[in-house]
Amino acid sequence: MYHYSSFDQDFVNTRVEQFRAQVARRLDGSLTEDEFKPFRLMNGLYLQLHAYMLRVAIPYGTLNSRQMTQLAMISERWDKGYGHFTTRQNIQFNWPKLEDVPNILEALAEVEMHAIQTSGNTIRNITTDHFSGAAADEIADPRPIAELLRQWSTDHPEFQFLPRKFKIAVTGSAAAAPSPALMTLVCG
Amino acid sequence: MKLNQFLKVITANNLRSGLVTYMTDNYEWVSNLGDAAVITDADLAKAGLAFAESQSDVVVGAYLSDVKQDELGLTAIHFRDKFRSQGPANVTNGKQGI
Repeated sequence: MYHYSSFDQDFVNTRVEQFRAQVARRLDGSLTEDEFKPFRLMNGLYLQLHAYMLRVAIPYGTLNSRQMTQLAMISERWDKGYGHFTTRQNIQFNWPKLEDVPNILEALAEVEMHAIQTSGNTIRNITTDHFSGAAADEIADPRPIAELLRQWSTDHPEFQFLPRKFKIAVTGSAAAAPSPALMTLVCG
Repeated sequence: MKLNQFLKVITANNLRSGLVTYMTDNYEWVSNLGDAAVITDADLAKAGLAFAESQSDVVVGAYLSDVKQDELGLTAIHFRDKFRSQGPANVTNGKQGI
């Protein structure tokens, strides 16, 4: 499992504080919804039919126990006690309040998780087979390449305002190749 | 009820909670469609929507929603608005909760 470098941790912590300030400015009226919307989408926060929804990336579909416990804490403290795991290795919280989202992101950062680029017209979180490193037919572990792509694409200025979202998956196993319907680019 | 009758409510999402909300006769915001102000005049609808849009520190994405009114009360016409008014089908969460 990849662990954050000090650069990664600083980057994620800084983004949390940036978003905390953006939320505060939205709530005090300094930002209009049109101005705020790109900021919330860059941080995985949608406003859907019924409520806000926060989509959190689960890198390569694996969680350690500390992360899983933190997700449970988040769901109980700031949501309705559950979340939905998605086909593209995320978890979605469906009932967060706007003013709680910076605290949720801070709690995620404490366990090396975030919601950056899980929404919006950007390069989304890079995915792999969740059995990477263990699949019997795997010719190579895709996670190092996936992680390089993640680091390259995260906050890349050329890809923050694409015409449409762009989804990349990396696989080392023909049997575990993801559905092209879910991805823009599948690297094998 | 005539199909072309002008019958609308103003709806939006609450800025802080994100929850679906409706504007009342008193220009307040409530969660129940049945308590919404029913607007039967295009000019009033325009003015009401302008007021709702001016409340950007309270609600997000205000718009006019077509409704029908009969013995069962107020019902949204379009599927999306019915879905919004009823909440998720999961009965332990949202407006259909038990």
